[in-house]
Amino acid sequence: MALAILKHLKNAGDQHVFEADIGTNNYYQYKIGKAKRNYRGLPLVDEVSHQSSLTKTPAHNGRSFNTQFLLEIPGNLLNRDDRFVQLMSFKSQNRKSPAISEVVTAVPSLVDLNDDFKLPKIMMPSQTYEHSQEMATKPAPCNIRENKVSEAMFFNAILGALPKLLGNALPMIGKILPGLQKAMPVVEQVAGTAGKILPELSKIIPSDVKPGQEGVNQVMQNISPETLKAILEVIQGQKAHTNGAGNGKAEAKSLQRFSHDFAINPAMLMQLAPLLEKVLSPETIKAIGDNPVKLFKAVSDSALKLQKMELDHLEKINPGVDDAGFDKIVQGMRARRKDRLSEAKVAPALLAALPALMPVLEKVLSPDMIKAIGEQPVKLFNAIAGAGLKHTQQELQHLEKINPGVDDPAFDNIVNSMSVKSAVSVEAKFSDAYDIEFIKAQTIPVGGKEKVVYDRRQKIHIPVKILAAKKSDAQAQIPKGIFQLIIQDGDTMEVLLEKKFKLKNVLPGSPITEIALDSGEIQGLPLNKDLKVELSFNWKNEDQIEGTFKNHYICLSDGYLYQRIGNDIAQHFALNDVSKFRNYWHKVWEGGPTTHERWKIEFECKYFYSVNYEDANIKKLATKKQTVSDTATQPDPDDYRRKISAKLKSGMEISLEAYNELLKQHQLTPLNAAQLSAFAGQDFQREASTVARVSVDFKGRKGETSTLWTYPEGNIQSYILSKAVNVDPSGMIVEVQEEEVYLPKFSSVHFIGTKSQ
Amino acid sequence: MMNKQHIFPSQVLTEGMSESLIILEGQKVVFDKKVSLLPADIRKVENKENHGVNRK
Repeated sequence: MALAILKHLKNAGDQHVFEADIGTNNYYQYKIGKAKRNYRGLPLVDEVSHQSSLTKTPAHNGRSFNTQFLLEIPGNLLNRDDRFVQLMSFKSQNRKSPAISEVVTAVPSLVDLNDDFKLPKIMMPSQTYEHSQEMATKPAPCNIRENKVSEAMFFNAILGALPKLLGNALPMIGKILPGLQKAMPVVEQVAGTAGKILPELSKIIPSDVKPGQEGVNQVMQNISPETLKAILEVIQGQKAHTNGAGNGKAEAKSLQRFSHDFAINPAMLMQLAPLLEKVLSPETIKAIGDNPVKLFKAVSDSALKLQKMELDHLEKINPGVDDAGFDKIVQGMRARRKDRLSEAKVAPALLAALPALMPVLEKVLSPDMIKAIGEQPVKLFNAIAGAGLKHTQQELQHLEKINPGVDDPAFDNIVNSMSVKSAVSVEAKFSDAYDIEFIKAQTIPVGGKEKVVYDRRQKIHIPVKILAAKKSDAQAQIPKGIFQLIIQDGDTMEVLLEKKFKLKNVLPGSPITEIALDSGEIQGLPLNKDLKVELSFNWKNEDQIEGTFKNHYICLSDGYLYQRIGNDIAQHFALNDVSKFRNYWHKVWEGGPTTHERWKIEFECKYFYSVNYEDANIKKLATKKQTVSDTATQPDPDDYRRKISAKLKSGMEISLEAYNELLKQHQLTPLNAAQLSAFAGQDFQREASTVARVSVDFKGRKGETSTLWTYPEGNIQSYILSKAVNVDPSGMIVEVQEEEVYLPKFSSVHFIGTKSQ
Repeated sequence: MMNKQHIFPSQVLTEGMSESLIILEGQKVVFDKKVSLLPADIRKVENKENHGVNRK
């Protein structure tokens, strides 16, 4: 059997003596070097300073199994620098049947204590093993903050969980909550018709919120029976509405029950529906309708624009005029749509989404303002617009406490984006004479929501048509018109792209295909992210410019879309090989006070993993330390012992490229670029954002130090993607096919404490 | 033999072990706690405009 075993026996001064065994091989060679490295799992001596000639092994008794022999290496070849030795053996002189030994350290060094029970010296964090340059680690500030459960999110979670609750848990809920027992007939009635309602509900309220059983329990513990009953009644109202049995009264009646919990009368909010329908496409509600904060941003942004379009042509200095003008628009729309509303033609999805706005509105608007708004929807709409402009830092801090996500800079960016938009927008007076309709907008499921998705790899156009309010205008061409397309980040409201299209002889009702973006423009937009498309149409009416606008939400894809986490796990892995996975080992803390003879430090530690989308690196986040107590700073301190309690927060951001590299390192096929691009989005970001909490303590004497390390374990996890299989001529993805792929997912983290020897 | 030099043992050490044989960067390992990772609802307070998904 071919072997290559090398064991250092002694340093005899002028020579080092090794015990070697090459088994049935006949030739051997050794190499001496300054370093060692790992090449595809094989240890190799590196920076070779000496290589022996190929030598035939000493003759041994062929009948014996003992094939060991002594190997002597001149002492002058080995020193503190050139201290690593490796033996190679071969069957024949032409180097057949090679075998290599481990790399043996002949001259121990204090900086490299390597015996069989000791780990190698850890390299500096900037050094990498087996990674390309792009896969290097780099330090980064720890700017992670955890969102707390908010009322809005809570409400959102309830809405998201409702279909599941209705289907599975209603009988149980009724038993758990005594207050609901009286409502059981209602509950049973709703549950009984759930089969009809749920498919519709699933469309309206995508269940991407995944509270799980724990979340459901949490919801049930916090929600008042009255609120739950009110929600159920809303659904009941929705059912009546959907069936056409109600004439709008069902919604109003049921929503009034909300007013018990929310100061704004939801029925009054519903009166804004025709106006909102004017400025938000149905696809917008499908894409963001379940997200109250995002919906509020879109409504606020639209309200601001609408307000500005009117105010531009009113006397701005007279505060009373703007309300009147604005009021005229809104009242006009309401009057025009009154009959249609009663005919249930207002998008059900919009009606269903509006109640979710209430918790946010309540936080954004002061109680006094809500009181002043009373039952006047126009004032409410104005207040929504004003909230985007007038909020103060103090209000934001307050909002942050009670409604995480609202302190999002996007609120500031609504104002900023308005400034940018105002600067680039065509000045026009809002007119209700024409309306914009996004045509052929086909949604596909993306992470539980229905979204309009365009393929970013090609030129796209957004097909629209202009609709005339009056029949007399429907046949008349508009001689000149300007379309203005403004694409904003759906979260931050940042203006990402602005483009104008000058058209002649626009015929109402005819498809318009000129609203196009070339590949260069579209490549500059982010992937897998809600993009707010605000399309304005401006035309000349006598001597003044009039205009209308509508918002539409789209996403861009490079051919694959992230859907959800799969159910399958291919294999488990632990990145416990310090050499191979050094990039994933993180020295979180190192220290030890030198002021006292004995010390003890207790840490409450939070460690986060999230995705680094900015580059291909693995980011090691700087540790934040917050001292809770320290006996040295207390009155009458103990001079001998010191005890410190502190909180630590740190983490690591893993790039998609690094995840892909981990697949390779586990002998699995990495994802191609298009598949990997599907993971560049908020859905996977949420999935891959995890935290571990642990309490650890260190004790030591004066002069001793300790360190805290982390490394992860995980699974090769299946994920479900959608592959675009049919893209229409406008570049819209109209058909997808599910595909299962695998990517590493960390499931646990090791916290390792060490102490100086 | 070589693996022992690189691979951290899979068994979790008991905290307060008096004689640890594992050395990490010249220091004696005194504990190894394995903790499950739980979903975290997080956001970044800096580079807010990016939100981590502006891959171009």
